Amino acid sequence: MYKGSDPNEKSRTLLDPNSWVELYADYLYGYSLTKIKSTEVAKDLVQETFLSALQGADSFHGLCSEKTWLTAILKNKIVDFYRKEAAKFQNRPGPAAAENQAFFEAEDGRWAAQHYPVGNWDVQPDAMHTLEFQQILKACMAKLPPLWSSVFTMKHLDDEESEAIMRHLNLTASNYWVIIHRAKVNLRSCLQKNWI
Amino acid sequence: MKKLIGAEPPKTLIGCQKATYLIERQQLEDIVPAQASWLELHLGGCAICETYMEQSILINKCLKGALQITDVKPELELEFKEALQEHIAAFLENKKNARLCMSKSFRGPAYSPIVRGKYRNIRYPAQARGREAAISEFSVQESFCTVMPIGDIQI
Repeated sequence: MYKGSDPNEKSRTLLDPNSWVELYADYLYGYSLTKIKSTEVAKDLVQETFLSALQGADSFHGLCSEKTWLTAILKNKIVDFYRKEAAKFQNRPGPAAAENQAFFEAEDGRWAAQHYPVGNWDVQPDAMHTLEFQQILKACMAKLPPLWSSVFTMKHLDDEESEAIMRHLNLTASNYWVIIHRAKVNLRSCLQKNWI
Repeated sequence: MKKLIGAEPPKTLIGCQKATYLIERQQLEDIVPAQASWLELHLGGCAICETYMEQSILINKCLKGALQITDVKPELELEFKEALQEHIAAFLENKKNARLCMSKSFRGPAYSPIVRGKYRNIRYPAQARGREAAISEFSVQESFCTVMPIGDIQI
């Protein structure tokens, strides 16, 4: 199934691994970086994607393009990475979790005064599409604990189904929605402090 | 119910913590009618949570196109790409050599049961345990054929 690997095989010239680096390495790297914060991890994922693709070449039947197939492999690698990260820190909530307790009053669940949402974000709607805002958003997301970051990224950036995320990360529905809530409360607060 | 702008949020059926939780959940999937009613009641009297909801919706909208805006397209270093290319070439070369060894022209002493048993633990380096091992052993120097010189085979 490789081009030119065996001229005696019937031509199923579906894959051309010798051109993968030139054609797809930068694309896969850029895709990884939109999901993973670390450039080193992103590089590792690209390398692992090519390795898995070489080992699993028999599973490619030409129903989609090479690029789509490699991207699908990379997506699975990213999910595996999220799962490992989440499992690492499952029992350690991290600093953002502690701060979350302070957003609301313990006795009645009302907003704590120092954390009231303020600011007229509608004044500059286009400002939220600037590079500056994106950088602040990235920095705020980097502050989230790994498990929250994994859940939040998979839901809001990857648009995964909630049930799939719960399955991948071994979460109950209750845990999942609490994380979605806490991650957003923290993210909004961080944006309010650093951007408004 | 009169909205208390700038004052403390009023006590309602649900508190602000529960209200913000329902705000997040409602944006991603349907909530039960009772919860929707509680939320509507709360938002009718709490301008702070209403502000939170507006900001949360705005953040969700921005996240869709977020993190894609960049002034530079990320690129891998040339050395990294060259190393990747070498690894792929080495993998393909070794797979080709292995295929040649398995072909009919090599069937003979190299495939006696004793030899097969002796060398049954040979694996492709790319299947080595651990990612570090897989990366470092990716370049295979010896193919399946070279570890079995014909002179060493015993029947």
